[in-house]
Amino acid sequence: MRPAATALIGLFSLVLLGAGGAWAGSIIAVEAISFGNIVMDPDGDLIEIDASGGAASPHVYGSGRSFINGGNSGEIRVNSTTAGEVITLIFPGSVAVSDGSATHTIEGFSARSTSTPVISDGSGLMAFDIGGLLRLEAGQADSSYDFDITVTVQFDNP
Amino acid sequence: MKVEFKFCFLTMITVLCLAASGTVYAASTTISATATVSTATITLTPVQNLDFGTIVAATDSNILIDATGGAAAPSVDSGTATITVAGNAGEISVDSPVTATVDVDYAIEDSVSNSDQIDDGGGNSMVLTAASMYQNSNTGGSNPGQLSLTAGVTSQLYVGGVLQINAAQAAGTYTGTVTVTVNY
Repeated sequence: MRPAATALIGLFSLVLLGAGGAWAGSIIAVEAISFGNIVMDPDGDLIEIDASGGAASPHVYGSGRSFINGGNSGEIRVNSTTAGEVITLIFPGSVAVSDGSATHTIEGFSARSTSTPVISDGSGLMAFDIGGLLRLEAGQADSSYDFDITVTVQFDNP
Repeated sequence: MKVEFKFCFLTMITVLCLAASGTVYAASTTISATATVSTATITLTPVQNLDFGTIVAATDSNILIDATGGAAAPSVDSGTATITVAGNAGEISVDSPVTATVDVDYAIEDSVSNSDQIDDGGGNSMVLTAASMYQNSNTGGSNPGQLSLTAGVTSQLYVGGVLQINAAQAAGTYTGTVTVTVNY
């Protein structure tokens, strides 16, 4: 009797381990950030997309004189069907590209994106708006600049 | 019997610990960001001066160039003046590297920086007011107003106004400077 009972409990333990991954949400879509067409202040400028309160457009941050046409915040959509699941977005401190004459960076993602962690109600789709602060340096060349921002989405089932 | 019981107990402890610790799963994705940057500025190029023509006036008269409809010639708005040589609205072409709506305004000064006047350089002046602007085929006429620009497409801006001539206006050629400013 004793050996049989022990084996059953061990099997139950393995089933629990395997089920953990199936509970987690997943990333289902990503929409790019666009800072629009910028006629830049020759002295350089800061362009902000503050999506902390929802989808947003770019605007000049501070006293800059750049002109911006178009643009939009980005979005990450996840699927979470487990009520109580805690979702946290983890951003890099900054990302940069260089055109040879100047280096431009985007930073401040966390402060300009939907605040996390958030707790899922288990209903499924959840959307997170993504913004940032683009730092344009003087002396840069006219061009279209592409940045890649690696975002980690953490699903925590306490 | 005793050994088997201990193994069972340890397994149960393991299960409880796993249940208490929960699971954490992380997924990474790459979100792209783009910025199209240009250092080129909006360019304004004079095409045609604002010209009220040649006017003969024996009484107080107002000469109007109504540029709210685009290119326009001067007409007598009040008084008995006669326009002997026709003039025209001022015209400025505007080029922009981006599609945008910008604020535009203009000011008129005579040779000694008096606003809304033109002068003959000899101490005689006339008032030029109610200036009007017009852009392409849109309705306009306000100052300041807004100018709709399309990237790579040259837009035209027309400038008019009302010139006030006194009955005792000294004969001469009166000039001033119209400064158009685009704010963006």
